[in-house]
Amino acid sequence: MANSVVKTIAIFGAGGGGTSAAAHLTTLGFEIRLYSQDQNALVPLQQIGGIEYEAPFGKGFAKIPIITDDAFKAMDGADIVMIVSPAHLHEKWITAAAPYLTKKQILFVSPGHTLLLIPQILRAHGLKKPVFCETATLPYLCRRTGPTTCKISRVSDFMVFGGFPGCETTRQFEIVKTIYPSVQCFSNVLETVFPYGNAIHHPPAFLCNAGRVEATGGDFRHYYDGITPSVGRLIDAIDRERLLVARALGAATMPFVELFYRMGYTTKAACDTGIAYEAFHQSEPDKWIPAPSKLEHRYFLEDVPYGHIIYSELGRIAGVPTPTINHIIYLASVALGHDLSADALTLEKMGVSGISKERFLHLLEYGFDD
Amino acid sequence: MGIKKIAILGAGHGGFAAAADLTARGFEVRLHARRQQTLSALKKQGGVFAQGVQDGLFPINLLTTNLEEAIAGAELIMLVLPSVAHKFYAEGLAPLLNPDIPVFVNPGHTGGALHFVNELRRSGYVLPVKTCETVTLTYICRKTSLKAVDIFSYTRKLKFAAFPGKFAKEMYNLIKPIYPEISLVGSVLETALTNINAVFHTPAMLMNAGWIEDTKGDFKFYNEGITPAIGRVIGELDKERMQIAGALKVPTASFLENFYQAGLTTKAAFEAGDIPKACVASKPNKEIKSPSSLDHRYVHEDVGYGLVPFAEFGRLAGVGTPTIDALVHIFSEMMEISFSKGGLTLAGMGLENLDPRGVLQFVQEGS
Repeated sequence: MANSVVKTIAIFGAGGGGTSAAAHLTTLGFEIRLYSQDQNALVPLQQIGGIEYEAPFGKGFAKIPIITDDAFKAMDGADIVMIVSPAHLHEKWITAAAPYLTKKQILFVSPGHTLLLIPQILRAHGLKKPVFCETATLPYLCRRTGPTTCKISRVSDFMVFGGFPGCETTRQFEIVKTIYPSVQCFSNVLETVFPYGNAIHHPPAFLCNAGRVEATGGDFRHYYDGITPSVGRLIDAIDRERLLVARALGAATMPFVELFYRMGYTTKAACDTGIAYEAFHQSEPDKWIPAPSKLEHRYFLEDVPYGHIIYSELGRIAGVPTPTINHIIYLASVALGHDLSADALTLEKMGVSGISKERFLHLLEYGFDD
Repeated sequence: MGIKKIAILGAGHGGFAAAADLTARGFEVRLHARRQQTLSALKKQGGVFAQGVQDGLFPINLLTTNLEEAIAGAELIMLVLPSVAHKFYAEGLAPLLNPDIPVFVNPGHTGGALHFVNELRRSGYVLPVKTCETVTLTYICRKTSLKAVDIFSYTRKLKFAAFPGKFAKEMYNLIKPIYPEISLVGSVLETALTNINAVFHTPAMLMNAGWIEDTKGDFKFYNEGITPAIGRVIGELDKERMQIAGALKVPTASFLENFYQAGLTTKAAFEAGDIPKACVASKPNKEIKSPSSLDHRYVHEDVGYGLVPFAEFGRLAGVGTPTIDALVHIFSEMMEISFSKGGLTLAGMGLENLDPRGVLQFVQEGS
């Protein structure tokens, strides 16, 4: 705070991530406004005027001066507008923010990894030459534990950061790092889409445990029990395709296992094997996480349409085949009985269907000409 | 005039069951295994101990690891083997076989007889050969130890075909007295495309892979492991199989109908059209445990010698097979085995470079 030009932050989203960010950033001395459209989430917080938190940095009550469903009230005068939500809600939050967003404000999406979706929505609302920035992952390992409480198990010490357009990354990075010193500056929002870890491992692991999820209602540990050696090999195969796509597009990224280690989820020894099975088997933070009780769950519903499908689409732009990823998309859809590509984040949805590799990379670096 | 002497090649579940059952019914049986250790307990005990359809200890006429000895004087050779072993036996039999000994591939799964004959040819056998196959094993059985087998029942209404098809009547008349449950179908393409193991084992193995490896298969494979989502994948795979059959003008029935006809589930479950329900309601399969790892014939055989030839027939017929292709590819990544290269292809069945019409002619004439 002491070194930050940022004073006021509007946080969009009052789930686990949003409330954790509100609590954490309040303790750092920032003035927080918390915005949500979900009255069930807002009203209990409004009644006590803040959020109770339990975190590695302490336990307490964070007083939040503005808790509102009025986007203008939340954003007016804020230095940063921070969107903290699952990817499929980006459209909703950006639509709410677009009318009030000013050129001086930093639009920071955490986690982002929706590529050109956000600029596309902003342009649709008449904002020319949109600028924003994002991280690949949420800053916290956290959850909402009750109507007025949240628990932060971990504050991330490694987040891949990128801006749009790429030429605006550094300027935004200098500001965001004053609130999150763990952000690592990458080139653009292509480099934040590749480290979307859940997209790499959730769909294959869930597919390979679908029978057990349905037969037992998820009575096992998703990562520790569910990611066995052959499931790990499937994750490794997906990761190889992802890395080839990234390389063909000139995007800097690292193997999943290394990323997982850098984010503090596994041991150095596991990282050195380069094998996903070892990475998960030696992951302390993930060890006790139970499996979902049914297949209609974000491991498929979010991580396929906003993860696997993006990699497949980028593979198409790059001219790199992604057979394993495509087969998983297909089988997950058959298993669920509905087509996961129907509502997915496609190039078409981002307004750039049929774009060439050259034009796509140019767009990422320099933005829209309008 | 019927057959007396039968050489049974293979001493697994089916080989044990056939050796005990056929001995009990008065045939002179020679049982061959590749390894001495497979037979040593039987030798010590003086035969195969069976329970179920046959009860008791049945002394087998000959137990041998020598192929020549096994088939000498035999009037029928019965291959009771996983598909992956057909090549080995074809190579061994090529110098020993003559046109007077018919070969019964029990079971043929998908393309078993075609594959066996093609491997015979590759190994230099040039004379005519008469073969026949059933789609699955003629017994529902489980080997319970190195010397005993439970024979739960004969498999009912078992599809049977000959290769070359022109010998169908002759082969049928030969085998019918031994296995009255067989019913003759048009060609080995029909038996090939009726392989229901490939249809339901493979999605269940993939979508229970974590459970299998984590617990070493500590659950009931059919009774617990075929859930609604797995049922949907099985259903989609089955549609592709039926489309291939349709395009090749091969009569076929749905997985559920075959499953019901084979006596594996209830009429109610069949009529409900519900695959998971039919598997849960399957009495013969009820207690069967899951394989303890993916390194099992439900993958090696049912992918390599089931899904791969299905996909090949799909290509021949011009029918897309996205579900089959997905399973083949994903298993290949998980097992680090290229099933599409190592499995049974059109070339492996001797059907390379033929159009659908050429294939139909080949399976009928044998050339």
